[in-house]
Amino acid sequence: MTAELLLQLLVSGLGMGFIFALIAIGLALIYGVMNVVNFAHGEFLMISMYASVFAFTLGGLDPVVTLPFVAVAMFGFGVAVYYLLMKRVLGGAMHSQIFATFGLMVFLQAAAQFTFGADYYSINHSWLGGTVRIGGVTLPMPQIVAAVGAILCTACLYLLVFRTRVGRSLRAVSQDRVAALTMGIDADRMNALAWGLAAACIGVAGSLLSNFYYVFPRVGAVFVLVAYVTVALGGFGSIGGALAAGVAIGVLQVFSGFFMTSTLKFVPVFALYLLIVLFRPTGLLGKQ
Amino acid sequence: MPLLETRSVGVALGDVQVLWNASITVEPGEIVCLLGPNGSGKSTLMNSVSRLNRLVSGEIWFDGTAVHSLPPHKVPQLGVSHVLERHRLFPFMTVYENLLIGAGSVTDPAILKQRFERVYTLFPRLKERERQVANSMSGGEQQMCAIGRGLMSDPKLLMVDEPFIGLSPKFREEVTKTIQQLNRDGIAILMIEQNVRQALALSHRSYILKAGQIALTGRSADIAKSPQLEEIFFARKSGATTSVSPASAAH
Repeated sequence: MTAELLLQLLVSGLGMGFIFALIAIGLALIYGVMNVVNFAHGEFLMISMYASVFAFTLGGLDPVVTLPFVAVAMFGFGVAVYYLLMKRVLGGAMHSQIFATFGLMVFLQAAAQFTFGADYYSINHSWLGGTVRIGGVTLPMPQIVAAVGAILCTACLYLLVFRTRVGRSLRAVSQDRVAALTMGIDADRMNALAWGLAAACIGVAGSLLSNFYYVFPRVGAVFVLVAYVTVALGGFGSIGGALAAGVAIGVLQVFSGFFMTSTLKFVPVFALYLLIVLFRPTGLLGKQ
Repeated sequence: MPLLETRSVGVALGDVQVLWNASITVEPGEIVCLLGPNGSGKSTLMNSVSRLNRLVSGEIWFDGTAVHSLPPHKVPQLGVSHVLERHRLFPFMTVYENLLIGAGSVTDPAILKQRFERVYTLFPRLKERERQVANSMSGGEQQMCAIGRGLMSDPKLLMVDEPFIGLSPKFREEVTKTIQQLNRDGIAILMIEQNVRQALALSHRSYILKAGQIALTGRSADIAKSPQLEEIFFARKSGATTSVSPASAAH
């Protein structure tokens, strides 16, 4: 066991962690603004990954190039899901909202299976080939790009939410919807914005992942279960919490995958989750 | 023409109607009070002006505009400001951010500066606490911040729902003075208050609600002397011997 190896594990764990965080932040954003858990979140990821993979195999365009387009298209998709589906069940009972996103999940998965089949697709010979050596740590190029991309995207989202006027309105709606309405904030548009931003984050995450992860109709389930744990661990609705928890989980699963066996790499993650919510039911940074 | 007029307003919360046929007016420059026992529909009526609930009948007019056909976020632009019950600040934002959101669509720095100065002159304490997160302040300070936030949009009508609730006598006095000051500055006030005696002393006119309907209206000075007042709050014949005053019974 060398220090180099530990550093190697830490860096690749951090890289994966930022992707987890990006997926979880979208979930936290929707929950924060609307108090709705998007069960179709993983399927948003699946769509983004299919889009990236097919842009590469059919059009020869690398995910790095198509990323902004996928992000914008996913923003539109998120807004459409809000207006066409979520807005209609908003006034209804809690379970109608759960069934709406759950139904969307089933629909999107089945639609992907129907259209693309159950085969695994992946990107071969991406533009980002090879590995990079930085100070004794060797990392595959796609993962470095993914980590940097996820950090940049998270930073942009942070600036948008905490440093702009529209971000302030978004936070106002998430902290007190009725008070926000009496301040002239269009809460309905903020809902749509939250769905759009969440889906755009997923679009970025899906593009970055598609360079080193295969896509199949149920790929969302792999990542989104971790995303739920990330959001719950970080504190529901807390963007900072989702970021911190995502990074922690990324590092933890890489280490446990190495020291135990890779099939059990998420066991310590879920164990940590159970342990923390036992003592802090609102998560690490959740509001009491 | 009244500044605010509700005409035969009926409101349902969910499937249950809780307000019937409520007609009130607020003239420019007036302080008008909504009084009544708990659950009599005071907040429901005020919330209907902000379009926060569902109208089943009636019309609401403000300054020549049909409020009843507007979505809630359009109402503040008309010049109506609503300070909700229990202040409802954005708890995890600073005092400054809360006030800034209160300014609504105003972005001109000169106008914003003027609005901030006005609020800070009324409540110097808010200036000191500008960078403090709202939920870390005392109840009285939060209520001041809520009123300040309501003023940031430079309203023609300020609606305040139970501004004195949970306040110490010192803060009560301060808030009372502020409301009178704002009224002298030309802002019409519509307020809800549980303390009947205090409310009647402060306001020009009052509406007393009971079980979702307006039971009594008139000049506050006249209502204070009316025998019907006790009847409404005690649901028994006036003149019945009791040592409890209407004011304390309303708590």
